[in-house]
Amino acid sequence: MLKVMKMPKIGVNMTEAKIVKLAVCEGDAIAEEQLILEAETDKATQEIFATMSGTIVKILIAEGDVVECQNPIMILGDTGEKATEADIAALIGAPAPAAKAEAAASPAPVPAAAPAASAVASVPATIPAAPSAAPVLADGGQRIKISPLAKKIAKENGVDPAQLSPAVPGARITKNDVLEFLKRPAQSRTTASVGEIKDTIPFTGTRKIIAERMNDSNQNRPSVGLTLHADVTEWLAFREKLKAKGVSVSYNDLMVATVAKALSEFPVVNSRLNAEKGVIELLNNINIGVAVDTEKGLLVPVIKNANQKGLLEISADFKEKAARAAEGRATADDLTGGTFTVTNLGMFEIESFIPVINPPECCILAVGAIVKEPVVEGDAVCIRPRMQMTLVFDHRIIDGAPAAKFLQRVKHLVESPLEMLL
Amino acid sequence: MSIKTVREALNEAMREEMLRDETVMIMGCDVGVRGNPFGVTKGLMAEFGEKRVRDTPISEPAFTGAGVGAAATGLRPIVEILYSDWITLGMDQIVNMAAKMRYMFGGKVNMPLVVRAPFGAGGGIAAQHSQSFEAWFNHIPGLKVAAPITPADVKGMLKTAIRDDNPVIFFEHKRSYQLKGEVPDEEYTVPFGKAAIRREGSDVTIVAYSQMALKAAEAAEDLAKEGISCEVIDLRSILPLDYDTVMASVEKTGRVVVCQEANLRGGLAGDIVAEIIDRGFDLLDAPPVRVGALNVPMPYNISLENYVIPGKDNICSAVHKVMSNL
Repeated sequence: MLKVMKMPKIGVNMTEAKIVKLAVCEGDAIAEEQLILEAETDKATQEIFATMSGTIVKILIAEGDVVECQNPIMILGDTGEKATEADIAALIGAPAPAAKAEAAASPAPVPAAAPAASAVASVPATIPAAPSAAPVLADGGQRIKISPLAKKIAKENGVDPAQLSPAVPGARITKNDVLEFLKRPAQSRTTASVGEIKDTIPFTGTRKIIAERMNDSNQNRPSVGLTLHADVTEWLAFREKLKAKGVSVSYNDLMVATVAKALSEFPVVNSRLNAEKGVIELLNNINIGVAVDTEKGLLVPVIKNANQKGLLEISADFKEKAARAAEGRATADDLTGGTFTVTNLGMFEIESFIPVINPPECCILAVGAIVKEPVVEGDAVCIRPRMQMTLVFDHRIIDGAPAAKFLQRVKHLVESPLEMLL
Repeated sequence: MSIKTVREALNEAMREEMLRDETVMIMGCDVGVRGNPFGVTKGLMAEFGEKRVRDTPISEPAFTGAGVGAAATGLRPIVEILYSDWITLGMDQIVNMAAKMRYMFGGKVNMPLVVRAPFGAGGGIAAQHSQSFEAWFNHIPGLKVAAPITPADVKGMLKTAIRDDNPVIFFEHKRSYQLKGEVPDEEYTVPFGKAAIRREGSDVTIVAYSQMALKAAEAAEDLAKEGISCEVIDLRSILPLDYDTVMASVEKTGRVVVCQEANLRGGLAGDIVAEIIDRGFDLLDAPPVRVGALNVPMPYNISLENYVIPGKDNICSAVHKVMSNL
């Protein structure tokens, strides 16, 4: 009996996945829950497991394809069973989705009419290939949503539509998007004539998701940044004391614990806007994301319920998740559910910066490098280790004063780590 | 220029043509003694006599057929269908006789027939008095179809219709008779196939005719306050239809909303959208959007009627949709 296995949806936010690697071949007998492929979803590379057992009669996808959740990926059957194009079409009700990526090269044969329709004599078994009616496809094989006018202007200017992106994520690419693209200096485009470009980096996967989210954040969130200095003398001393006891925690670990403590005192900061329902949602859990630079770009592993965890737990949790992120093996769970993000560029000698809010969170805290500075204390100038922190907040959700109070509290906790115990 | 109502403008057009050409005559139910239920033909029987302004029995096939015969044999009849809903009864005479004769007789017969037909909905006159059938006649080769709305246009275009040697279905919006506007005092006509740009704009083209052209202009006014610049085209005659003006506007805006008052399915708006795509797919920056009534018999209940007839808000929503890029 032939049956269809579909791309499972394994994360709340997963809508589609790019096939990175196939782990099985046609003819293989597979068991339910056996690893069949690796796929890139939201940001993480996921292992995808079989949802049924049987012999693989036909694999409908290829490495590099982007497949929507619940779209057919394989046809399974009994040992030795074969499937014709018509069988496959009858099972999945459409030309094999593998055609998505191949359509441009070789038009897939249109399936024969389903058995029920075969009584109609004039229905041809196959319809001759339509002449190059292939849709505009992106590198990953996804169809690009572009208006006819935009497509024409892009063509006239030698712009590959795959390089264009709409002003609003998910919208159709319009004339204006092409004109905006053409306005950019030639070097910052990737069209151009031979010789001008050394190499191109695909604007897909993680990079594209980062871009969409940053765009969304910047365009749809009126954000304000607040900056202050914190004296970290005691913070450093606290860390040194732990070290002397053989306990090693990073500045990031300390920062996560500090922010978690402050958030537990300022519930309105640990929130998100639900415009559809017309409410600001104050969140139960304090889940702190920490921005991590990886080969694939920015990833944000999330320490769940950070306010309920001790420093050691936070440290171990972060280490594990950061390592997975660095190897490109972060799970969807590692990267989702954050309610607040901390980002630190101190290691690169950046003293202060203004980050972009990680939607749908309300705030992001930028932490700068620790720098020894002259500070006036009483009537004397002394040298103190200091660090700048910038809180960027969504002004739709909170106002300047409460945001400032929250940041001030973070500063006090940094300057007086003992208060963490209160 | 003088301010006149659509009713007065129509009456003047017929009177002036009857004075100018003695072959022009009027036929229909209540056109004579009563001067038509809307008062459009008031005074004409008194002025021109019972021979040229004839009250007929209540039989659309009979008086429409008489109009076809009169037109074929040398008169310029204006046949009035009291409510255009009942044009169905005269359909065979219009479709199989009037529309075909010039072709089938190799041009040896003229068919200077005008069928005046009040159409459109509003005012709670229910399912059999509210319909707009222009799409049917647009489908028939051999006819011309007019649907002007301003007093100046209805006067000038009715005169053009009376002088035309082809059968013309002349749709008057029955809610427009009291509509006032400036009408030139001197002799003039308004040609078929020449649309009027009621408002210039750069973001969206709104194509409309008859009452919907007025609603489109109101919608454009509101949308301008939001910063959306709409070009409003009043087609005036829908067969022939001035695609040159429509396409020039679409070329400018890249976005188009087409409005009709008739229910949407199988309507003229769909036909216009198809023609726009045929002529200028590459000019479009967004999928065209149609506006029309819901696909239901017109309700008698006023609240339901208002819900079914497309209004200014529907046009605004359509413009928002065509601007959304989603």
